Amino acid sequence: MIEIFKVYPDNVIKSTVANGFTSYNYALKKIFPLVNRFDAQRKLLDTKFYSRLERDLINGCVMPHLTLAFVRKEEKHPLEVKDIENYINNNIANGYVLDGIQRLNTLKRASANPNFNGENPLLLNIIISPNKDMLLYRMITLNNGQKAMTARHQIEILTQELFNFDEFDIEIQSEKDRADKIKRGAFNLGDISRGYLAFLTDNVHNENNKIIDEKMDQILVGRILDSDLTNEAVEFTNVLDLIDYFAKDDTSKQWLKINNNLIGFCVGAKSNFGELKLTSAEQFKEQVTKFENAFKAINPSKVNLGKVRRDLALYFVKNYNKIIELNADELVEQFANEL
Amino acid sequence: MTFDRRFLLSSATPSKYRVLRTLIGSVSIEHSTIGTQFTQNVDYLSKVYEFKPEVSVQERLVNYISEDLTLDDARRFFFDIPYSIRNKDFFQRFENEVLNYLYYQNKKSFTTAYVYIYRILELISFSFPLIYASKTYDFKHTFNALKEFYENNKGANSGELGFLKSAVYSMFKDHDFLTTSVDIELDFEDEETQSIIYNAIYNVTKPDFYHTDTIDNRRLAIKFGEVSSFIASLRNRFFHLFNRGDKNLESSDLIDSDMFFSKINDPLFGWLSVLYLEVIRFSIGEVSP
Repeated sequence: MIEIFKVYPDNVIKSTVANGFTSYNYALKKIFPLVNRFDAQRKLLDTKFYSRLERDLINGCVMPHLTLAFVRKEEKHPLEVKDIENYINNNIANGYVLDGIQRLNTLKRASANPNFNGENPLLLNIIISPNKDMLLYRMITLNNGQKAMTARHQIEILTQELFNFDEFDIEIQSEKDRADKIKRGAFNLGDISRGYLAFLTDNVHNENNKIIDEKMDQILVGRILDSDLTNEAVEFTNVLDLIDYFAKDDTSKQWLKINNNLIGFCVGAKSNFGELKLTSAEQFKEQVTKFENAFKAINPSKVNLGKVRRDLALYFVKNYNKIIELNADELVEQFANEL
Repeated sequence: MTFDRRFLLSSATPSKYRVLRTLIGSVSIEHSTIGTQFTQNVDYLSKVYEFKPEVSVQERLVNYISEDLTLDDARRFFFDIPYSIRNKDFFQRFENEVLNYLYYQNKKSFTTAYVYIYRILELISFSFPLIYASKTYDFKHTFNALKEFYENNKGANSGELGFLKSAVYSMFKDHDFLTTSVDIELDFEDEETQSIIYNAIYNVTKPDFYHTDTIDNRRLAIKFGEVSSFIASLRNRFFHLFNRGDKNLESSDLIDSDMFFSKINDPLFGWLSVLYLEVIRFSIGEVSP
């Protein structure tokens, strides 16, 4: 089992942080399977570091702690060690490995060695968070500087892992699934994760192929840190619910399936969630139809259409309550002002 | 359109273009007095910007400036009067400093090369903010830009170099570059050397300069907006041994000054190149259609 020493509140991500330890055997039995849940399993980093670590594990080293995470929706999490310990042990199957995938893989490889001692301690840091966005924020700031995974990649992987898309009416398919068989009408997982990235960074322009990836990653992390994510009332899961609801109508669904629209929507919904929650699927469909009519007036030879679509979709969703008052011509005028 | 031969380097090529062309390499440079020649192969802008390897170097250069820029617009900006002669003196002086940097860097006289980094920094500290602000067709913009520079020019940002620092913050605030870093990899032959030099630099500079991508004893990641301060601090701490109680770099910290600067110069020069590109981008806006 996992034993917990101490529990602390994290007032930034409104979570509970616990430290404790378990044995290698327990980790291999209960924590390692959590890693295998990752559909897009990262290639094992074949570095000198990990083969040395494998040898050291057998020789009895103590690795740096792994970070596990849980999402627990209660208003206030208890701060009693025993309560947290029970919660963690009872819910271990629902945990996520935020940091330490490679170390777990190395542990697994080391366990094949006859000299491996499964009773050695494995140190753990555990975060119990009220929602997934907080976890992502913490993970991105945790891994800042460790170049193995870019922020973008982390978000791509966690978009798939943190959300149970079966709960939604819309279908969401990963690249791999599409390679097997394309489900008509399904959203792309990649598009959803780009929407999540936009939501987290508060910015619709996260794909910049003019700047090299390494620098772009620094920029994305900078945006996430600046976005005041930890004080947001709206969670991405709420935005997904909205998308799911509006997509009941086929016209709206097609509109949302255009990635640049989706990206604008995800950012706009952050600031205008209240208004959108009160909108009917029928009304939203009318408004996106109006949007498309107005959008046709834009001269494609003068502008980067993709960029403009993202900007205008954001504007549209953010100012939804104003937009419903306008007719298509007036909307064209508003668009012209925005560009 | 036919390829304009003025894009090929010659003695008649305006410095403004020659510098940019040199910064992206490959360019053959000759020291006319001493008579040696070397090739500058590094594309300093590729450290930050993507490029398509299959296009010509002239197209690459134009793409670095802007995706929407045509070769024709670029040609007018670099080679046609009046654009080609605007601030000619500045660009010629700038070119001299850049070529000296590259010469001494190539010669592995890294300490001397660092002197040129500092000279380039001084040159642009005075001139860039003014060039940036002198978008002559937009008086309001010029006024606001200068106002911003002066307003920011206080406290830690005061003085000439402070002026540049505020200019950098203004120039790049919409580009997000301020959250990126300029990385100095201290990959020396052994860990002990790395540790000595890492600590030597860290101890004579402010912790505020550093980006979270910094790795102890291995990499100094300097925040994009703090690079000018970093260059100035290092120069002050190196050029002085006694200085009113400020902690300066001892020779034992440096181990060997050329070795010390061998890892530092190019990343800083890369930063200067990004600044240069930004001014070009900015000035090219003045070419009327």
